[in-house]
Amino acid sequence: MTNSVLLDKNTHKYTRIKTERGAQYGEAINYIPVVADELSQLALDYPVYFMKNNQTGQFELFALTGFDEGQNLFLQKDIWQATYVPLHIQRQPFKLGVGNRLSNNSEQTQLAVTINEQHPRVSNSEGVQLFDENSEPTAYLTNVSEQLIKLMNGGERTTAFINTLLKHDLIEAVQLNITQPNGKTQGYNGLYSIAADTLQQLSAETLNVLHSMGYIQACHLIICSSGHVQKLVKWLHDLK
Amino acid sequence: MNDDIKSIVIVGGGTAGWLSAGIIAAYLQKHHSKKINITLIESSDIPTVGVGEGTWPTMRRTLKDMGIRESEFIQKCNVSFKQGAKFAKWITGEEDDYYYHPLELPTGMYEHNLATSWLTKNEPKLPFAQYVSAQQSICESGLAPKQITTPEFSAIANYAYHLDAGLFATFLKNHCIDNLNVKHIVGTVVGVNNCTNGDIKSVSLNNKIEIAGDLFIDCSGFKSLLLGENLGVGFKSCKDVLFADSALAIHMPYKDDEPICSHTLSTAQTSGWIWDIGLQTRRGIGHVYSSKHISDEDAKQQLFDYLNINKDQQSEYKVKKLSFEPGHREKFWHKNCVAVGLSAGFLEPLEASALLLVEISANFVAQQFPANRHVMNITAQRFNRTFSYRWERIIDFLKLHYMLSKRTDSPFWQAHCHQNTIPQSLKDNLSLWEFHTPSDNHFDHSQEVFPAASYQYVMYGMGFTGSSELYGNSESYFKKAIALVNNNQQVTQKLLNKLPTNKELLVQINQFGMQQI
Repeated sequence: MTNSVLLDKNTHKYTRIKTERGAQYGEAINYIPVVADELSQLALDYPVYFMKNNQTGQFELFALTGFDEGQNLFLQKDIWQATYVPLHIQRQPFKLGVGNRLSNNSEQTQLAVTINEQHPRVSNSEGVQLFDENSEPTAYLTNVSEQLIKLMNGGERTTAFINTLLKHDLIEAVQLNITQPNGKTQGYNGLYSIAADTLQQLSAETLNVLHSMGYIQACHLIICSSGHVQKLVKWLHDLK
Repeated sequence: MNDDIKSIVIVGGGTAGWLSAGIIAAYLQKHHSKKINITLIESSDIPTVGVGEGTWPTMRRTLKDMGIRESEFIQKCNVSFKQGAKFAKWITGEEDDYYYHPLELPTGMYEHNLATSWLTKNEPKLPFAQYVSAQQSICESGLAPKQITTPEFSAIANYAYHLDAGLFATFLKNHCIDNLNVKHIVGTVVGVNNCTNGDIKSVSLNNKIEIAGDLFIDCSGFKSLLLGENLGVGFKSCKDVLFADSALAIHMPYKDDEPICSHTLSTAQTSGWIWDIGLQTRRGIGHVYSSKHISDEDAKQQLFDYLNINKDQQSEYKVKKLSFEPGHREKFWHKNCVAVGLSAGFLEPLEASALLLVEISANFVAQQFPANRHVMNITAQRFNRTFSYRWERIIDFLKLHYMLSKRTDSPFWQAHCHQNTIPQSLKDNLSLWEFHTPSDNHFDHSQEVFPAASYQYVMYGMGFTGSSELYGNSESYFKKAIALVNNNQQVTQKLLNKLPTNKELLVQINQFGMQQI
């Protein structure tokens, strides 16, 4: 477990964040949690799949970045091979936490930005400042706050999206068969995508409802995104 | 001639009644356009027996076919997973005496029957179940048969359920009424009205309602109201083979942090055996015994001894007594009436065959549903032939658990091992198996209730060795066999590392549910 503390303009007045990409910042991971709101950007670069959470069995949305644990094919010599970097990566080492209770209303809690002070991005000498000389948030911090809000709201929207898809049997298991550089074929289980056949057969009425929520477009983005697997395989072979 | 079968009347609202209603309704609705009305009459004043807390893996398909969500079933019926049975003290009666009958088939059962390899090349001496499957190790470690990410009804290791029969009947009832269009009538049958040809025309209820039907399914329990009482079909006792005729049942809440077993534990006693079944919130425990060999008082004492409950605490526990005649009806389908469940027969629940028989009986009725009264006689004949065979094979298989025992500590065990009490069909098979290991070719039907794999687990679990002149196998067989066994040990290690405990998985399922895919 990481220890996050509330971000405070006094405590963290001189705290800086290193913003370059790299494996040393915990980015060597082969899948990244994403939210449906990111789909239009993600679909240009990443294969996006549903996977089940190991603890809850519930579906979540992920961008696939590699085929083995610790393998992020997008990260080559610390340069990220895509124009868009998922919010989950960008927002490190921050997340939203529950802030101090308002003194006059104990029922209410407030969301606040927290920081993992042990994160390798955190520094006192290098990187971007969080607060300026007037103790006001810098543009960087303001941007991070917006990303965190986006992730939180997007998370809820993604759950609703997934539940609707499940209700209409629109999620199905896919098996990826990857030819490894040694020539052997390796199968990957645990990935799920849109059931394209079922999508085709939806009634006009259902289609309309799902379309008005933006779900149909999201489905097509996910279907198309799987084409990027070929690019990942090519990168995998180029590594050798 | 219009004698089409258009309506089914099921008498009895216990597990057998609702399970039959659900299986038949779901099947007919899925496969046929013709509408068959199904009515179930449930008495409000006859309590259900509510035994049968163990199922077979077949229940997974049965529930799925009925359109039930497994997560909901597990959440509402106090369900836990069952991966087989552990038989303790059946061979010598010593403390370390046990063997497993897991639900997984032996590795490579159909291609490379590993039994010969186990009998002749098993070094170091592993128990048979452990030699051929990972499941004994999984059970001994208290692990679940799957993970929270495994879809509903899918398994990593084959599994069935332990369930609360009362909750299960209510759950099925709601599903049948809400989703399968089964008509539910509350009332006690006080009269059965027959046609001149001897068929049942209708049943009269205590609230003056009369319910007519084309096909009647008797799920009235031990009473066998329609088939036994009304149509006078006789009963065939098998007390000369299987002596158990009484049971004492008790519920035990868990102590804090007590694990939930994912297998049935069956512990032999001097004149019977004790079942121990773990549900989510309690254990269901019972002593099945032969009243000829032990008094109710002594049987009860053995039950309390098993549970470590001393004399002054015993009055706090409610013990339910059940008496039964082991055996079955001479036939099960007569005229326009078929008996399903206890009304057809009952045997000691040593291999949890009660609910299985309900499933396969109801499936038979659904899949071979007679179009009209005329052809029903043919269907009835076939049903009777099939199920007479099934009952005989179940009796054989239960007897196997006793007759291979080396226990001589009581008249009960001595009588069980006496040649005169062993059916000829079982003796014949065992004679063959002196020289061959059991294979499915040794049985009449391609689908047996207890296939060769079950016989292997019990026979070799109980130390049956066969003759020294066992038919040998080729070099290439042993090569493959050894590879399979080694692989099995590796798979076992992997599963032990990745499976959650049975209790952990049940907590997760209650909190999150499982996915359908």
